[in-house]
Amino acid sequence: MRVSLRAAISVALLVGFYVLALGLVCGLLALETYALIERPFVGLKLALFVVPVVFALVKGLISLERRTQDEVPGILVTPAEQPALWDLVRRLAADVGTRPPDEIRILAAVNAGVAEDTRFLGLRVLKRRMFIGAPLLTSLTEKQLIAVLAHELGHYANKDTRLAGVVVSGRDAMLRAGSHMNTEHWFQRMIAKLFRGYAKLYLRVSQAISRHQEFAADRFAATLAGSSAAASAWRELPVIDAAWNLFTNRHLTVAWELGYLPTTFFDGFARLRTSPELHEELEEIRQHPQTPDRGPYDSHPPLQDRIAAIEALGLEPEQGWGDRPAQELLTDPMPLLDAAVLNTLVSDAATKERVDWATLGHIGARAGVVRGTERLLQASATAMNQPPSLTTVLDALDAGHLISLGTHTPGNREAGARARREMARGEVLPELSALVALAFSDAGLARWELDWLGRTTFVTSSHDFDMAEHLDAAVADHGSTEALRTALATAGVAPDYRPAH
Amino acid sequence: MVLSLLFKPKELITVIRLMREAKRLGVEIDELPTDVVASFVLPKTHPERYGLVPDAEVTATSPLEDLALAAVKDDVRAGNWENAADLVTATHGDWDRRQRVVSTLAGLAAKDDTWMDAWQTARPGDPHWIVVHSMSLVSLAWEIRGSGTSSQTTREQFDGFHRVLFEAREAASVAAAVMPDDPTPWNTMLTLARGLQVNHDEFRAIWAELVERDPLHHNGHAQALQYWCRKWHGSDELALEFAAEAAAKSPKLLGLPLQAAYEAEGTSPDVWKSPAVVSALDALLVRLADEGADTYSLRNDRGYAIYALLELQRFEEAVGQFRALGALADAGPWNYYDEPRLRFLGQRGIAVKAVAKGKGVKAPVR
Repeated sequence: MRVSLRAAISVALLVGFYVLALGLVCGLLALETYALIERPFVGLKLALFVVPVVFALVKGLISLERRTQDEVPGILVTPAEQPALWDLVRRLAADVGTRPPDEIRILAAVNAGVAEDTRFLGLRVLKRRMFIGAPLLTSLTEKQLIAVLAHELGHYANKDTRLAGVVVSGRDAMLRAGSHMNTEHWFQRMIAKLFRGYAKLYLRVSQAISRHQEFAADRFAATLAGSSAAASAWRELPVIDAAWNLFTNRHLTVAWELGYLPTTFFDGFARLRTSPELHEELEEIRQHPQTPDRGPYDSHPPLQDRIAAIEALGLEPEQGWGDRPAQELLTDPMPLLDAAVLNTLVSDAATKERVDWATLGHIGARAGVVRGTERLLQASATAMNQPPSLTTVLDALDAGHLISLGTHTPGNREAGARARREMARGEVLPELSALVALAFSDAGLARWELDWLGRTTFVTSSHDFDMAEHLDAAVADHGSTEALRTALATAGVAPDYRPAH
Repeated sequence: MVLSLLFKPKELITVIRLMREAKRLGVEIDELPTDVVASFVLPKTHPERYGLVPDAEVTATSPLEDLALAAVKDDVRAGNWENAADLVTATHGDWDRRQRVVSTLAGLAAKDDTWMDAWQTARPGDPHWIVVHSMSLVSLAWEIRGSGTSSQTTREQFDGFHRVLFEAREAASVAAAVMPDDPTPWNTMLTLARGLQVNHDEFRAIWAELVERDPLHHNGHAQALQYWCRKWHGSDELALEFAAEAAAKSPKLLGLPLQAAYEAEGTSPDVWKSPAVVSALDALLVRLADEGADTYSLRNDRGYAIYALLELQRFEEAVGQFRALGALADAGPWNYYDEPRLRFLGQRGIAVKAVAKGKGVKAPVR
């Protein structure tokens, strides 16, 4: 089927959606009016059915018109603040043949896009916004960024697929269909179902158009940035995505719960992306790009097909675009990019204490270790009937309470005391080791380091802190905690040491 | 299960009878005493007509075979270690017996090692102590692991199992160094090789050390056969090959091919008919003809011979072996089951019934 014909059907379906819903509402209201006039009693009874249905239908229609979020995400940048970026976007829009966006916003996501505020299922456009992910600005070259932005603008190019732009906006609206319905209520649930069924039909019909549009948008990207820059940008996106996920999960928020954030964000992300320990993994993703899972209604063709198609075009870039980092398009980039990240974090981000990366990693790792020692401290306190502290743990071991400090049971139910003691030893030793490490760390003699892969290492300022033998002796049969106690005292650890949270 | 019973009228009737009995005794069917279940489930035969002991006399409890060992077990339970230590010391040179003594005491030490501590304190550096100690760590590892499947076993149990097996290997190396003639520490290493997933080459190196010290070490061959089984680190073929080689070395080891076949029958159903197994069985029967059933190992060989004979439909010979076994259902293959006695009686009933009906292959005239 030709794209223009499909587009026409899609638009007809969009219009039909309103016709269907409004027709239903009008029909029901007419029936009700007729009944009320002719047979008021029947009309009243009928109203019990008609009123909720009309209510649900109208609510459904409103849900199509309303934005899911009232606040538009991202940091707004004006042409006055970022002239170079705006110049670039305007020039790209002109080259692609669509109107430039009304707003540019910087997001903390590995994504870019153009979205329109629409009414009537995308048939009328109120405002066009361009979103640019901050990680893209720091990770791509200028040419690669051009490829990405040209692709997004290409979706709105006003060429032979006049209706296709409407189809794109329509998809977004359709995915919202019925989202405001109250699923607790069966009437509304049914109407929501009806809307969704219609939306599915629409999405299926428009799917081919969307796929065609992706390839068409890729052609814009290749024409403006050149095939090699566009293909390399598409290869780079999954790499940035993987790095960004690692960055946000293992680093940015590592001490979030404890009330800490790093002082600056993007210097850390830059160091993560270029760290030797990640090099191999990221290169693997670069060489074998996997299509990300974007849900069942995603319109994108497989990434590898797109890269192959772009490379097959073999287009040279337009003159005048550079290979410099895209970040150089920005005036004073770091505060803007960090603000974009802060903007996506929940509102109490502002209350967090800001520390440097090394301190943040240490705080995050330490908290995990503290949690791992709570059980042992409590068990020892119970066994000795003393307040929980490192000394109480050591006293409990010296008093021969090893078995009662453990919770794990051997596999053989008839196992003797020796097997239970061995299980307890396996459980207590790592916990005691963690407790001693905390004591040294809190005494300022050691710290945890977090590498960019998210692995922690315990670093001591001297080899004198190798406690392995003392720890083994503390939990051994006929062992002793004496050597360990001496070492702790030498390090200046208080006898009643207990890790603070 | 219930549906499939409908197509087996005999089983269905038995189940109904058991349900009625359970109701009469006021318990759940699963809680019926073993003897009661046995009286309903086992084939009704007349063992005495074939010179067999009555069902009621059959027991899975081993008679005292090593009186000295039985005595030191009691001593150890009472907290006295001296006699146990002396017995271990005295067995130096009698390697099969030493193995039995060491593994029995190691089993006790895995439950409670207070007496081991006393022994070590009183005789520091006693090389025999470390021999028992290293084996007790293997037993301890299995206490921690338990006998559940891997999904029933917790990560902590696995961790403990491996940790203690590594300790056991270290201790066994020390024992081997301080007792250079003794095959026992090497047998300990063979035993723990399964749990530590030792590779074939490494295992063969340990094996070479063992057979250098005792070429026919009885338990060593049994441990190695387990290692070569499919369920551990070998295959049906490797296990059968190992067993056949061992059987060729000495008539003492003729039972091994039958044990290998028993392990392999699940995946190699025709294994019992293979010439190597049949010839090992026939040779074993000749050897057993002159021997009674006084030792555990003889009963073990007879048990596997019976299993093979039943598989080959040689019921008359099987009854003959049951006659030789008498009342003792303590060895293999019965001891593989939770209720060895019932397993024994069940198999015996099958053999007797078949003979009564004149089924199967008649015994050759010897």
